[in-house]
Amino acid sequence: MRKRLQKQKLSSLIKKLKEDATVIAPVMTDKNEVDFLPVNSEEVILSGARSLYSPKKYIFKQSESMYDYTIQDSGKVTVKESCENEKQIIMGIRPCDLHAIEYMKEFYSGKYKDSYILRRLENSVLIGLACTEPSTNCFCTSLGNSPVDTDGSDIMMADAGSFYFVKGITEKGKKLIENNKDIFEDSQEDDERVLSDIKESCEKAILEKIDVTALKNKVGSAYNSDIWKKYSDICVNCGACTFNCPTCTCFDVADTSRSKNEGCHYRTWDTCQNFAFTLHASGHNPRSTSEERLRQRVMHKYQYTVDQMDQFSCTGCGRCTQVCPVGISMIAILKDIKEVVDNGEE
Amino acid sequence: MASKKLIYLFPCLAEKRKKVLQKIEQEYPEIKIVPIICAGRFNTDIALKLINDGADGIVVLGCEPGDCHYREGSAISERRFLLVKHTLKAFGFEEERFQALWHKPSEVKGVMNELNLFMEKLASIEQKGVEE
Amino acid sequence: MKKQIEKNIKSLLHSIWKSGDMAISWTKTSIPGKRTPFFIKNKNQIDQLVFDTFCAVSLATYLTEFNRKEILPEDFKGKLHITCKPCDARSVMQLFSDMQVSEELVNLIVIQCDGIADESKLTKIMSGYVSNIEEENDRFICKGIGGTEKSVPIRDCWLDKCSDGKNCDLPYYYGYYFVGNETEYRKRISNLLHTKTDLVQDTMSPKELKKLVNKELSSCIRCNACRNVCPACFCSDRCVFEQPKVNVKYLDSEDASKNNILYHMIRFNHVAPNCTGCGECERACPMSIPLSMFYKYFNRLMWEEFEYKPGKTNSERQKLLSYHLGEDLV
Ligand code: SF4
Ligand code: SF4
Ligand code: SF4
Ligand code: SF4
Ligand code: SF4
Repeated sequence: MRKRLQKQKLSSLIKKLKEDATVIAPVMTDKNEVDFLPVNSEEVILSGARSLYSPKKYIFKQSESMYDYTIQDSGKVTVKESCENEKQIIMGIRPCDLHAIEYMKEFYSGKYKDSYILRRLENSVLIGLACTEPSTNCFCTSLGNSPVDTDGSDIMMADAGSFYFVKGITEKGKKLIENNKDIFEDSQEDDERVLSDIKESCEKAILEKIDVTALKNKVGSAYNSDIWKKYSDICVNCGACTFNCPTCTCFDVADTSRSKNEGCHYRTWDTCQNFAFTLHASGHNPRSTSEERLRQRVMHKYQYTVDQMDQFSCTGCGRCTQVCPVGISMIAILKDIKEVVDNGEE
Repeated sequence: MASKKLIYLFPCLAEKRKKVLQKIEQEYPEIKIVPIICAGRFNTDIALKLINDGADGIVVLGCEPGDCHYREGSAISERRFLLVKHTLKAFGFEEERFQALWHKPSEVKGVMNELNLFMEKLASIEQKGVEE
Repeated sequence: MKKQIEKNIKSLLHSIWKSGDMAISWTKTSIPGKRTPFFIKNKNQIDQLVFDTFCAVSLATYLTEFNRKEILPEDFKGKLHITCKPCDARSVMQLFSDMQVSEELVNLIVIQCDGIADESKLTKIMSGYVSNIEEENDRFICKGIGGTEKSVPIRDCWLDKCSDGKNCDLPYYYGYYFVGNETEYRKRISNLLHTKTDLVQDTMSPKELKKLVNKELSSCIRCNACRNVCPACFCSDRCVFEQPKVNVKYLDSEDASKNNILYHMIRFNHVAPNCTGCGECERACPMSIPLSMFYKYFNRLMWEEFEYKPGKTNSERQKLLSYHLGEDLV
């Protein structure tokens, strides 16, 4: 299903969509940073480079209650599972973040299903946006992705000058377009061309490219090399890179009481960069050094998920590099890995 | 909103302060008494946590600096308590919510006077909050 | 002139280097405008060192990490050379006086600094994309998307601390090397405006302030970047928030923003006596939370209450940790 959306119609579309769902889209915050927030209509920014913050927080929340409990005076305990059924529409998701959500979906529906996240995904409509401009740190093409990929989206949009080219991908997306068909216009025959134009100009601007796909299944051979120390020396083991990464899926669960007879079981984001992440109750810590923790992060993205799910769990969005307070660059690490792998092969 | 107040009192040398603690229990049943070894050993993070979690006031009852059973204990803490007050202020809590009272273990009247003042202050903070 | 300073640092290091030494400095990385810390472990690495307007990371942080990491190479037996801007040198001083690192171990090299630019500010100005940056006098010439060029005054990208000059004073310490022209440097900083800081805490009522703090801190994702880059937060893996076995669990409610306030309250309550106001926490914060509104308050407090400016010397003990009977209380 192909349509056109005139740019001045965008706000009326959002107003319409807002009637029965929360609409989340990139907006400029007062700190001069683009972030995904619930919107009214006008302020949406669907141009420029990707936002510094990913929409991950609307699927996999920073902290959420999993069930609440109350203890009555009689001693009876009642447990109530948290069950969000709110509908949300997330707009302007870049292809890298779409890939990330796709990955997250697969990750949380493996052997153990995470009903909280799957339910939220079911209640969300994801509207993608082809990337016209990369940011300094982007390297999606290195991972075999492209700035106009549509996988993971329900609807894909692309900026075509005076209008957006809109493409319904899934049934959910097509239905949304169908329901609002008076806002859209029919598309012309060669509208699809805009995608390849965007792809070409955006890919040209991407600064770094190394063929990571050629390293698939080989990254593991760098496990014992000495490249890690170079980076772990300067890594301060904060969690900025992992918390901002759209594909980092680790969480921690804990219980808390709100009052004497009421409380909840909740989960929060957790990060492998933290010392306590793998700390055993005995006091032993199998990943006690910074080197091991940094290696874990990189290996997980480029080797372990390849082993388990046959895909990289890095989308090349470059956020980890952008937020790192000491300037550790994923591209630099990958270049080093490539060198090690290449040398090993000779 | 003017529900029951949540106030914690941390007295040092509780053994020797039996008299005044009894009196406090009688007059202010809403005050929770948590004995500590020495005012110098009071962990100020706890005060921050309690106030952030919604406590209305924290009182530490210790011996006059210089009079401390553990020599410098209460003197060091006096400086630290100043910092706690300012931490509260910096984050938008009323600094009056934290108070240290310095008295000899045998003192009763002085403690009660100051405690009355403290309770009045808390009440006026609340009053202000309602007005705003 | 900056090229000259960089050269001088290198030749200084070459001349004082003994086998078994190590140095901490900066080098280039794949991103234009970012400089990353660099550990020099043998003499032939010295030439990879870089010093220019983008060396924003304070290296003092790494001195605190000796508590936990095997940073030092196995054959280390000499001195640890550390290159510092004057503001970072003050953080090193504070670590000396807090006895976190031994003076004998460290050789401090202070570099004449003309203001340091924050890459993230430049990126914001360039709306997210810079492919090349060149420095011309007091401007950056940046290449943006599609080869467009933009000239940005360096001052617009300065770190906050660079413009008010409060952190630029050289420490009272005779054991450092100075690279550059010291008299020229002192003259430059004496011309900087030492503005009086207006703080929100003075003008707002507690209720308004609470609202502001709530708003700002609710976006904190508790990534710990502010804590981990802070040279005054030296407990590393022994931090109170990371002790699964302590009997008080500080951060345990599921209400994230309430947690965040406590996290920052406790953190500033701990670092206030030795915070030099280096601004690393604010620079590191990926959520751009204005942490300066807190540390500036405590910096001023330390000065007004205790006449104590952290980082001034290598020996002044912070007043909150030491007390001798008979001493004035505050
Ligand atoms: S590892 Fe870095 S580049 Fe890859 S998806 Fe995560 S944040 Fe993006
Ligand atoms: S953001 Fe940088 S310093 Fe922090 S843990 Fe990640 S790589 Fe290390
Ligand atoms: S660096 Fe920023 S986001 Fe991270 S914990 Fe500190 S204040 Fe919060
Ligand atoms: S927050 Fe406190 S306990 Fe944690 S590292 Fe900083 S000073 Fe130490
Ligand atoms: S709290 Fe912030 S300004 Fe103070 S020393 Fe730490 S990083 Fe620097």
